[in-house]
Amino acid sequence: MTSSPLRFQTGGHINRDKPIEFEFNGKIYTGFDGDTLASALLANGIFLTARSFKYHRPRGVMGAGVEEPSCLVELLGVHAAGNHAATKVELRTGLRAKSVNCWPSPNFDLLSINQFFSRLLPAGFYYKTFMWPNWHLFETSIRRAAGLAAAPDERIPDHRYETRWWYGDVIVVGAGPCGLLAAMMASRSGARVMIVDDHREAGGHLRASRMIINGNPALDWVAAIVEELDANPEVTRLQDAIAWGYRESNQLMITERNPLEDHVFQRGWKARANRVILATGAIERNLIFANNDRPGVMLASAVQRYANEYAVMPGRRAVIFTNNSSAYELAHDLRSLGIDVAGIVDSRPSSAIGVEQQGLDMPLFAEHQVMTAHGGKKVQAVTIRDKNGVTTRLNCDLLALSGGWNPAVHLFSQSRGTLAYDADLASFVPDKPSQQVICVGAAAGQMNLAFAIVETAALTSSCLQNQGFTVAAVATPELSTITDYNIHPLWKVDGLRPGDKAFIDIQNDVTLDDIGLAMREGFDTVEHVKRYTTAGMGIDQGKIGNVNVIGNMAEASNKTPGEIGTTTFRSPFTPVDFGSIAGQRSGEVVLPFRHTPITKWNKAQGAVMYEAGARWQRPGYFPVAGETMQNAINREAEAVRYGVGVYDGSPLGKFDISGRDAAAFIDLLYTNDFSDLEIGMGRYGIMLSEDGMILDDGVTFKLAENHYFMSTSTGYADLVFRHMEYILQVERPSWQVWITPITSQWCNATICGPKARDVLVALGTSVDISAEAFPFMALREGIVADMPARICRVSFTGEVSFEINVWPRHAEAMWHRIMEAGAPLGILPIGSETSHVLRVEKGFLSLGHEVDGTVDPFDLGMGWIMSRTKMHAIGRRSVDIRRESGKPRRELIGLLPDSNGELIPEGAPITPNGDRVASEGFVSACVWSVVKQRVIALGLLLNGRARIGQTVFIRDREKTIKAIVTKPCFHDPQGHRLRG
Amino acid sequence: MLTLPCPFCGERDETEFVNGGPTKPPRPDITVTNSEWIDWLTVPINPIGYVEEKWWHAKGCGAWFTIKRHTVTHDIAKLDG
Repeated sequence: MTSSPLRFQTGGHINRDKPIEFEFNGKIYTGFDGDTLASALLANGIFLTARSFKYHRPRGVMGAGVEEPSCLVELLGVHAAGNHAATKVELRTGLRAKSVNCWPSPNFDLLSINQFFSRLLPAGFYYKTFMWPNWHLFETSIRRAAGLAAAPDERIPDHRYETRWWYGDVIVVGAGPCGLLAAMMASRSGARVMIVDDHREAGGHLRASRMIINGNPALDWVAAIVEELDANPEVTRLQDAIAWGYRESNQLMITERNPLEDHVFQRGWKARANRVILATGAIERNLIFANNDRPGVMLASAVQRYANEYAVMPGRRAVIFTNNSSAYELAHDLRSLGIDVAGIVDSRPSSAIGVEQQGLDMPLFAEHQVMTAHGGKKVQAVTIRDKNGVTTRLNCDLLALSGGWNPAVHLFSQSRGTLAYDADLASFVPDKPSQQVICVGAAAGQMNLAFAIVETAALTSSCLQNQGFTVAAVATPELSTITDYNIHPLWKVDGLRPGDKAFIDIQNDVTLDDIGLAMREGFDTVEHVKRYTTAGMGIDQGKIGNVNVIGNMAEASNKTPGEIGTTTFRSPFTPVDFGSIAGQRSGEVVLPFRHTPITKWNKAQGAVMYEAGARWQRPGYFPVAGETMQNAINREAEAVRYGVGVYDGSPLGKFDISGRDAAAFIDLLYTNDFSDLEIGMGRYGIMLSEDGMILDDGVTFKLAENHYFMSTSTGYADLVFRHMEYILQVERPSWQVWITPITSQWCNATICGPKARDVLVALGTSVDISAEAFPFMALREGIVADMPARICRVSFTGEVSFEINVWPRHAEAMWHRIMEAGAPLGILPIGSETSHVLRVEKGFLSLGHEVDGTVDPFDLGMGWIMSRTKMHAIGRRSVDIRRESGKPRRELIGLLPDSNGELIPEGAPITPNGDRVASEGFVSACVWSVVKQRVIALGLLLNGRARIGQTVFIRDREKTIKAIVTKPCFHDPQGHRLRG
Repeated sequence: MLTLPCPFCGERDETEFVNGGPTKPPRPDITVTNSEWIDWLTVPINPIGYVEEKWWHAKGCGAWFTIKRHTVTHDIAKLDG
C-alpha cells in the first residue's frame, strides 16, 4: 500500500484497504476509495492543477465541493466529459483526467505570458478591441486561448442514462444534520419521503468536522438516522445526486450519478412533492486581496473537509485569514491534528472575537488583514497588515480563507421565492416563498447548528402537520461546543493598489479592478456588471464570489448590498450532463418516425427515404442502379404524365366528421360553401386561421347527411385537429359534432396517370369507374382487388387519379396487387420529389412552400374560394379588413427562369433589377419540368398578377437570374386531363 | 413544469397539454365594427397576476378547458362563477 506524505496514517472516511490508481496529466498516482480527484491530487502533493481562463495564471484546488472555482478537469476515456470540478469527481478505477486550459501542461503553459499583459486585458477588453471589422474573425483564436475543456466528440458507449419520476409528500434536499433530522421526522410521520444529497455519503458538514453528538462521533448519529430511513420503504434516499433545478408545481430536477445499478451511468429524476424542505447548507466566500488565487490559497471549510474527511493535510504550516468566527473551528481541528498554524489573521476587532479563540495556543492577529500572498506556483508566505498599516510577513504553505457564509439559496430562488439581505449575516437569506417550500438550517441563514436543529424540528413539524401528518416529538441531539456565528463583513482588504491581482471571480479571472472599471463605465446594476465582466458566470456560477461582487458594488456606490440585489439564480445549480436530462430519449427514439405499411417495401426497392411532415417517413425517389436523382425524378414524372404511377398517400391527414351540426361546422371552417355538396361528392376547401391567413387546404367528401370525410395536408393534420376542437369546444360548445382523426385508419395508394383507369380495371373492382358514372371529385365505396375500399377521384398531379383507401391491414396486399396489375402498363412507384414536380407543373399550392403563414386565398389567385354568403367563416373578416387597406400584396406567379437548366434554391429572393436591395418576392419552388423540358418555378411576387409577361430578377447568392413571369400553371390549364 | 387540473382527468403533467392563450370574449358576430374585431383578435390580456386561459389536453382526453393561473406564482385558483 502506498502512502503519500500529505496523508494522515489514520482518520478520515476513506477506505485505506482499497487503493485506486488514476491518471492525471499523463502520470499515474494512487488514491483511496472514498477520495475525490481533488483530495487524491492534494494527497499526492499536486497543488498546481490548472491554468486560469484568461491570464493563464497557475491555479490549484480551492474548495471541496460544488463551489470549486478553479480546479476544472477534462475526463478522458470511458468517463470522457468536459469541465468537471475535480472536487466532485469520485475517484474510480481507470479514472483518467487532465487539466483544462493549459498547453502543454499547467507547470509549463505557453499562454501564461498573458499574465504579464494583464493590464492590457481588462473587463470588456474583447468587446472593445475586436469589434472591427468583425468579431468572428477573432473568435476562433480567442476561444481557443480562453477555452475550457472540449466536449467529447462521440457518444460514450458506457454512458447510459435513464429517467425516473417520483411523486410523494416531502422532498428534503441536503443530508446534513438538518436535512437528516427533517427526513427522519417526515419518515416517522408516515409521509412518503425523498432525501437528496450531492455527497457520496450522508452527513453534510458533519463529515468534515470533528463534532461530537450525544457523546459519540457525529457520524454515529448520522449512521443511525440513515439506517432508520433506509429501513422505511416509503423513503427514497439518493446520494451523489444533485438537485439542480426547481420547477413549477414543486418539481425538482435531480441528477443521480453512479447509481448502484451497473447498467446506468446517470439517472435523471423528475421528483414532485407536496412540500419541499431545503436543507442545502451554506457556501463559504473567499476574501479579496492581492494574489488570492495562488495554489495553496483555499477556503477554510475546504481545508477542514480535506483534513477530516479525506485525512489529507494540504500544507505543513498554515495561516488562517477570516472575518468571522467559523474559521476557528478549523484552527481547533488543526491544533488537534498537530498542524503548525503560523497565525490566525482576523479582520475583526479584538472585542468582537469571542469564545471561539478559547483553548487555542497559536498567534492571533486581531484587526489584521492579509495584504498579499507570495509565491508563484505555490503560496510561500503572506504579508499581513494591521489597522495602522504596519506589515508583517508570515511564512506558510497554506492559506485558509473564510470570508463568511452564503446560505445556498439557489433552489429557493429558482422556485421564485424572494431573497432579503441580512446585515448580521452579511448575506442574502430566503424571504417570501412562492411555492410550498421551507428552508431550514444554514440554508435559512441559521449558522449556529444547535439553534438550527431546534428550528428545523419545529419547522418540519408544522410543515408535516399542515399536510395532516401526526408528528411525534424527536429528541434533540446534544452537540459538542458550538459558538455563535459572528461576522464583520470585509468585502476587500484595505490598501489594495491599482493593478493588484485581487480576484473576485477566480474562475473567470475577474479582478476587483474589473468591477470598478465596469462601474466607472456606467454599468451600475449587478446584472450588467455580471455580463460586462463575466463575474459569476461559468461552471461555478460564482458560488464563492458573487456576494463579494455585490458587497464591493455596494461599497463603491454607497448603497447597501440589499439595494444592489442579486443576479437571477437559474438552473442548473451545477453543470448537468445533457444525457441525464434526455434519459433514454436519444437517437431515433427522441421523436420516433411514423411509418406506413409500405415503408418496408419502399426501402427494399432502394428508395431514398425522406422525412415528410409530422415525422412520416416517405420515399423521396426510387433510383435504379447508377441513376442520378434528377434522372430518377424525370423517369417517375414521365410515367405519371404519359403512362401510370402510384404513390403511397397514407400519411395524408384524414378526419371523420359527423353529427347534427356537422354541415354547419364545415361551413364555419372553410371559406367556401359546402352546403350544396351532394352525397358522394367532394370539394376542395381552404381553411383560414382567425387572422385571415391560410392554415390548411384539402378535399372534404360528403359520405351521408351530416357525415363527412375530410382530408388535410400531411404536416398540418395535428394542428388542424387542435383548431377544429377549439372551434367546436370553445366557440360552438352547443353544437353536436364528432371529430375523429382517422389518418392511420385509412391507408391509401393513389394511382395516377393516363393509364390509371386501366390499372383499376386490371385490379378488378365492383365500382363503375367510367368517367360518366364516377366523375372527378367523387367518392365511391366498393371492392377493389377483393378488398373493401373507398375510392376518391382527386388529383394532386393533374392527371386522372384514383385514391384507393383501404384498411391498414390490407394496405400492403393492395400495394402488391397494384404493382402486379400495373406491371404490364409500366407502372412506377413515385416519391415525394416527383409529386412535387407534378404539382409545380400544375401550380397546385403546397403548405410550407407557397403558403407560409402570410398569404390569403386572394394572394394565390383563389378569390373564388371566398364565398360572399359566408362572412362568418373563420378568418373571413380579417382577410377583408386587411384587403380594405389596398396595400399591394405578394401574389402567386409562375416563373420561367433563364438559368441554363440549373435549379434555383427555394427561397431565393426576387429583387428590383437584381440589385442587393429589399426583395419584392421569392421563389417558392423550382423544378425541372418534364412537360416543358425546362426549368420552371413558382413564386410570390409583389403585384405579381399584373406583371405577367414581364422580366424579373432572382438572386442566388452572387448570381442574378432573369425570369419571365407567367401564370402559375404550366400544364393543362383547363384541367381536361385530370377530369378524363 | 406545471401540473394542470384537467376537468376530466384530474391533475396531470404540463407535457400532456397545449396552451391556448388567455381566454377571449366570445367570437363576435359579423355586425361588429372593424376596430372592435381587431381588438378582439389582436389584443390579448397579459396581466401580472391571475389570468384565465385555455389549455388543450392534447395527450389526454382532448378537452379544451379554462383555468385561472397566476402568471408569476403559477398558483391555480378557482374560476369565477
